[in-house]
Amino acid sequence: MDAATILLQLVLSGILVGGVYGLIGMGFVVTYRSANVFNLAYGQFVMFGAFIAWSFIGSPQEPRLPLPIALFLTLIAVILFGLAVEYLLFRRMIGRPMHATFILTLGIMALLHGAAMLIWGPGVHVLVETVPRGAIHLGSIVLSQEYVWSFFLAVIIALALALMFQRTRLGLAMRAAYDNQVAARCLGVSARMNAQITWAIAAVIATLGGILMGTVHGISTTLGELVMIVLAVVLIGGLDSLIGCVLGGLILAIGMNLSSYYLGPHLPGVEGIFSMALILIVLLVRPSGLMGTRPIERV
Amino acid sequence: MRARGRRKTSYAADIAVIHSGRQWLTLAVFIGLLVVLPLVLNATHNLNWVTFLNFTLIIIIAVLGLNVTTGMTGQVSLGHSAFIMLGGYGLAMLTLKADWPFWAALAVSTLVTGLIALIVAIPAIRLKGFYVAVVTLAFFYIAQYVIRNLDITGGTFGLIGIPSPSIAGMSIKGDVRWYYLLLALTILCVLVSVNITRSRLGRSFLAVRDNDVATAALGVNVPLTKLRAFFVGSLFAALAGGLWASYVSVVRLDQFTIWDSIWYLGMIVIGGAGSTAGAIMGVIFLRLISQILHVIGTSDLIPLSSTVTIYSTQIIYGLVIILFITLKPMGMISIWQKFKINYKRWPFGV
Repeated sequence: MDAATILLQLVLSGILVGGVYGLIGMGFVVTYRSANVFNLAYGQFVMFGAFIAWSFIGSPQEPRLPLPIALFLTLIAVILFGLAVEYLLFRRMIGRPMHATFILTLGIMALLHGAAMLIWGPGVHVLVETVPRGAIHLGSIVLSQEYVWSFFLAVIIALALALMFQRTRLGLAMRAAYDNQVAARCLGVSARMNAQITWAIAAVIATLGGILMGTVHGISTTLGELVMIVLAVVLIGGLDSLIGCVLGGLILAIGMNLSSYYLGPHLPGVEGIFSMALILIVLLVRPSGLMGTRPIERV
Repeated sequence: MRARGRRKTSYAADIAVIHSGRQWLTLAVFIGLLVVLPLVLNATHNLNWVTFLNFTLIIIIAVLGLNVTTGMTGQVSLGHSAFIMLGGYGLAMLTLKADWPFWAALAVSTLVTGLIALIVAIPAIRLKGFYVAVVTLAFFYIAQYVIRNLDITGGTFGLIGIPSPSIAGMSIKGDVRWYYLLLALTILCVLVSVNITRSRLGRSFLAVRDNDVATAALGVNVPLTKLRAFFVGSLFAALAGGLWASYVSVVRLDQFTIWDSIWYLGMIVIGGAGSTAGAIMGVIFLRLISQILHVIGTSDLIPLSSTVTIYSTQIIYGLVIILFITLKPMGMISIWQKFKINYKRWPFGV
């Protein structure tokens, strides 16, 4: 392969992976936007959702339930999970300082990680094929089919979420609550209902991301470390923008691909801290991200 | 009615750490108990309890630092584990590769870590809230990456054979000697920490945490105050890291994980953010939980595998943090203060 083809290959596969990162990041953006929670436990949400799905769907060796039924049950289970998180924990945090909520998410992170380790163990669990797998050849470029499917799924969900936020009453209420919670409540927006729907949506998106990532890489507790990638994605895109989230995912994934290929031989594992370096650069240069709307308070 | 109140006739008396002869007596008895504690534990041949005490003292020193950065100044730092790591690696490299004497190496590695913390704080101080946490988190992973990929730090194998300190010709070897050294240093650090809160510096820290706009309006340089908070906090961390490295005579990357950063934050929250006594209580509380689980797990009664012990500890830590944040946000120190007031004013409680 010549240099140009390699570059194209890296960029194209980066775009596909980036779409999935963007999708996962959206769950983070949703809770930040309408519940004002900076959820560091989000990676554990992805991991937990994936494991719940695995418990219903099963591995290729021993599938448990037919795929549609299993997915439906997973959906109900994670919606209940999201509602429980809101009802038991975040409802109590309304009006409390931001760093308290932040440390609460660290506690949730520890709890979920420990629980998953005890229940499912540290091993990698293989998931039944939820999206078709295999390679697609475009000339000399090879793309994996599951990423193409995941990418289109991510785009559809991004569009659906954007439509919900921009075109429905519910979305309007959520945006209003983000801008000014007190004013929104005076105008009859139910803060509780908002928060419940938000957490349910976030849990569903996290699970979806977990299933897609799990189909490709297998499911293990290391999925929780995805939170570092999610942080980079949402900070690049701007914490409150869904479109920015997709953009951030693309930039990060392409950048990770390129840095791993071109710098990897000299600096082993450089793609792992590429996201960290990007976070630092974004926070230094443009803290509100590429598409973020809310100005960040500087001191 | 026992409440009589104390009349203070000078400002110095008002801000004194210890107000009365009875408090001096209590303190002396308490320190005396701490001094004889390892002898009692030794008599029962439970040396691992002395080890437990030593690690607890080291972590108290580290968490006192985080209490300055996060508890007093409100800058949530997830990089505290990294500062401890830098202190430990600094000491190890200076003593092993450059053959420096222990105390000089400890002082220099502590100071250098403080300077590194200043660099980390530069992006952090310009932003508010969780952005600080994200910057310090990114710093943690970058520091870990650098140490893993350098030759001088021993890569993933770490550095072994770090020398012990010696005082006046007596080398500090063995758990009990270490205990007395660490106890002395911890008392020193507690003294420093308490005095920070009484000084102009400490008041500016608390003011920045409570209302940074008003603080700036009063003429305090807010970014500089935050820089100072990071500097002071990381000094404690690096000191603890150096002692840790020398005590176990090894530094490895897996001694300093991101989970530790989270536990340190949890200890502050559980104890009561911003209070020196609270930070100490938080450390002891969480350390006791893990030690009790360890004892139960290794006993014949309910034998648990080490992984089960580790992850049930993690679950319980998480639960404790969640419960304190949601139900007792001011921490254990608030429970104690409420008890004290109720006791003094009995039968007129609050």
